[in-house]
Amino acid sequence: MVIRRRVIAGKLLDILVASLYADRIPRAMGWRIADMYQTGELWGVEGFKLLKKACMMVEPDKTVMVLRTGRDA
Amino acid sequence: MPKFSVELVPRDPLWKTALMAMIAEGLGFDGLWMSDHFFNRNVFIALSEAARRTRRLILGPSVVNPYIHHPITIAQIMTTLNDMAGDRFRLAVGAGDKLSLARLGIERRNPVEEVSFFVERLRKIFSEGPRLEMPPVKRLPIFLGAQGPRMMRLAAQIGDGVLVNWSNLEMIREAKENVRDALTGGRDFVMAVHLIVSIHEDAGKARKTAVPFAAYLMAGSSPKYLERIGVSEELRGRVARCLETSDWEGLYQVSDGDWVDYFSIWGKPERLEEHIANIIELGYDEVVLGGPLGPRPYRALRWISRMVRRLGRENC
Repeated sequence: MVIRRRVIAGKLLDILVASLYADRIPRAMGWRIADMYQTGELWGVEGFKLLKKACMMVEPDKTVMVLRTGRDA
Repeated sequence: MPKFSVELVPRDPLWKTALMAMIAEGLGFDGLWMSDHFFNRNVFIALSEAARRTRRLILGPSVVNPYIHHPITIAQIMTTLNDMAGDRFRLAVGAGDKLSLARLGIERRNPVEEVSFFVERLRKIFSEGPRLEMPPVKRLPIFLGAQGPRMMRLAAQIGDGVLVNWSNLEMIREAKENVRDALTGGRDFVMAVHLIVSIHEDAGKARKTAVPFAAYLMAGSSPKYLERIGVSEELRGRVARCLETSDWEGLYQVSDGDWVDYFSIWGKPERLEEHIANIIELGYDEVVLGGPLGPRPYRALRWISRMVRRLGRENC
């Protein structure tokens, strides 16, 4: 379970970093993601939730595909 | 084994650029260059955040140009950044992007002379003044961004290093020869090459992602080089117009030629690995991986990081 979450989180981070719509993410949420990456918390349960929320704001279709199938577009 | 750096374009929100800087450090890269364009986030503010978030990465703007910056402002900024991260900073100066300057109504006239004068004044400020009322920078390596032989020779004469702005191996080899012929006295000098990279398992996707970056470089290149690689003034003009109007579909339609290969390295990761191995053989000291990196930049950085470790083992 933990390994799968870590793999999916990596794919979500990939979506977030590749997105051209990062300006849609509220600043505070963006900085929270950066902070959590720095401390390693991004790979935990709370970090996963935050990543999921941010990715849904910028690339909803790609995010749903990763969450449902584990594969990216 | 050369050093490996990443180049970021600070067009995204600052938190995302900071995130990328931390990712680059976490993956073991040695340095981070950040491009300077007036229409993006300010490079120095972005670099200061990167400095705050990292411990080891060598940082620098690439390139600041003498047409929109004054040497005293750059001296002040670099001295202030020195407060944040000591000896981790360096600076690259270059003639800048012709198209961006044109958007400001600035003509990129006498680029070699302008860059030379700028570097000379900057060094003078650091050595003779006017004195800045801050602890001085002990050492600030100054690189020159270069494409043509005159700028390469200037870099060899007055720079601590050169950032060769070509992705094509033939041009990269030629640049090495130009600098080597002009270097005197066996002094320390860093030969760095800045590649526009786009990698992905699907080579077609990688190429598509590379095109806008390659196009910016092509549209601002010297007519002499464009003629050499078979790019007509008419094609250059069409590409420039597509960029000016953000006509990406139009850009892809005029980008089916070989010119994209001169200004970028794109394809499956193995292709980049072979390219880097060839660059290592040429004796370069630093490889800068810039441009989009790929349709998936995080994944591309992880691929490159593994590639660098493999190449390191082979070259040990």
